[in-house]
Amino acid sequence: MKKTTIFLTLSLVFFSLIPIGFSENVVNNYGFETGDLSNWTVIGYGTATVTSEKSYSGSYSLWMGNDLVYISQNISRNISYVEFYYYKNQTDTNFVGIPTIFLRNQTGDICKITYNGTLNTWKRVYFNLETGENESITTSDCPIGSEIYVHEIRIGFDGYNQTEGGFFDNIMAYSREITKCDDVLLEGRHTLISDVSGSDSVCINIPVSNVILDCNTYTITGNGSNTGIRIGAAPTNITVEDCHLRNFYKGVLFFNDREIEVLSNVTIKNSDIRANYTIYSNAQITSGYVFNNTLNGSIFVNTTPAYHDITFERNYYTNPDGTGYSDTCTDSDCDKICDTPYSVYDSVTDDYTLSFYTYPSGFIVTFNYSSINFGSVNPYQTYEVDGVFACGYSNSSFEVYVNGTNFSTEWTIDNLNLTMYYTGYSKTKTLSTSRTLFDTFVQGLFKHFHKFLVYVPLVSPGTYTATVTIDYLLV
Amino acid sequence: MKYASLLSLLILALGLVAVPAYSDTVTVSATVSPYISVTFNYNAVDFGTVTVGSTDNHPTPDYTTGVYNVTIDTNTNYTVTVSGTDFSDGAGHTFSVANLKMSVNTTTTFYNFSSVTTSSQTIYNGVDTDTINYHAFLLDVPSGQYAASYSSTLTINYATA
Repeated sequence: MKKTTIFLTLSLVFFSLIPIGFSENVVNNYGFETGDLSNWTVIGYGTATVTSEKSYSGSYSLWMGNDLVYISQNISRNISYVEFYYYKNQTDTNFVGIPTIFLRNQTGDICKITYNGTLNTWKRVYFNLETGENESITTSDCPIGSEIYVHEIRIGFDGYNQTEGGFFDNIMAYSREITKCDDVLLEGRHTLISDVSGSDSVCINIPVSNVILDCNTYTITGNGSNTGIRIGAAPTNITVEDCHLRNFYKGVLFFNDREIEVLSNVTIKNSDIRANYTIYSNAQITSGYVFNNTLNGSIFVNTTPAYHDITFERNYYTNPDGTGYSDTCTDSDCDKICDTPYSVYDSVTDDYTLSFYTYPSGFIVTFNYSSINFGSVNPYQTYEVDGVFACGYSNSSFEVYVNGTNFSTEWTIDNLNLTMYYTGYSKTKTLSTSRTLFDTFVQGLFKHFHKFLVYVPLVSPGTYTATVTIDYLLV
Repeated sequence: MKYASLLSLLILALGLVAVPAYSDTVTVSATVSPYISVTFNYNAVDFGTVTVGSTDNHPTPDYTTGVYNVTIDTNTNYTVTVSGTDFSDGAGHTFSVANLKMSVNTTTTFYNFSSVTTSSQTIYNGVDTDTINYHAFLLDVPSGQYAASYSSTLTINYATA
């Protein structure tokens, strides 16, 4: 019972300190903990001084006053939420300044957020541009309902010539755009807009539900011993997509810190994960879905919990040596799916395990047949066998040559035609005993269906055999 | 020694330009069945007016002219079988088809005439190189046979052996 009480108390403090839901504070030196105005530019006639006289958190805050004065910082980001802490000097009874945040594009103000409270104590002032939620503010020209692009954030006193001032601390603007390791604390889509690297034990932490983390194919790089993305504390409906994870011990971690928690509807898709453990699950999880990823490293799923339901489908399983299952599996029909599914964990298989034809290189050809049998045939008739093929990949143009031996003296090989066809292409050649060029083909994946058509002359009953040689070679 | 070095370099160079290639050696097989195709170049044999009690009547035209022939296309040995219906005038008078004798050969010289029966019987064994058969017919007329026009239908069958 005592332990539970402590936990809840800590949780409340935790959430009160972080504006709920946004990925990243994009304001540098937001709390002036450098002890100076690094990253800020002072505009106006008054005074802006970093001081340790008061602070909401940390050691410093900013005092501004004496006259019209602002501080400014270029952020050039999409912003969803702004906040700052303000302390009105209690001794300044005549002070009528109005602390204001100006969100500006490159031509001027696009949104003005003004604090209209009067308390002489630290006051958190915030405005959620997506929902309109706020605390003690009035706004002017601020669009509500979506994030807005902000080139410059400016904060100060609006329009008054003063002799006194107030303290500012923790001036923050939050974006759903991610550029560094951070917590994702609100539902909705969060997008990487640059590569991210970090040595945090967890780089991107997702402890809440209904989140889409879109890495937009940017790369998140770790230090070799940390975790790239952690999904835990029982959220549901989480999607992680288009992420490139590098140099992590655990790429994506499904995590519960209490046994009663169950993750559900968690999807990892279209991502390229290189880690000791690409997917590491220690969680109770239902409806997990790992789809269409390249997984370069091991996979661990703890099957001890009652629920460990993770479906793996259409993933490429490899390792740093390039000798992983997908790299070496047999794909006899070149359809990019291994002939035999990869056994991921326990009895779970990836029934559409991607093969090396997903990332083909060089020149490789697979023939799916080595004999053609026309069966019983009658003289003066033609017979055909099709459905056999050669498939593969070439990184440059290649040629196909054919030749064959006679069935017998009376039944020569020129009674046999070979047709190659695939979408948009068909060509037929009569075989001969001399090696002749069938055709030249362009680079890329290919699948040539071969059809053999034979004419049977009047020959004695019996079984006849010819040998046809089909050569694929680079030009 | 100088020549040996040059040879070594040449071999090395040839090794470097080896072209990546994949080859499929395909065994193509078929089993040809026995086959025969024949074309009958006649469909009637007429003996004209014959005398009661006469034997070995020849048809008109005579079989020695080779007019009763069959073109053969075969890749195997074959057999010729024949059967027929008894002669009838359509008014109740008949006589046995056994009075008709037939012979087959690849030339117009005939031996071994066989009496035709109502059940199928082999009258000739051919070989795969045959390209033509000539047929010969002889008719005996039983004594006392009622005077009338008689006909019989023959079935001549060629089959692979």
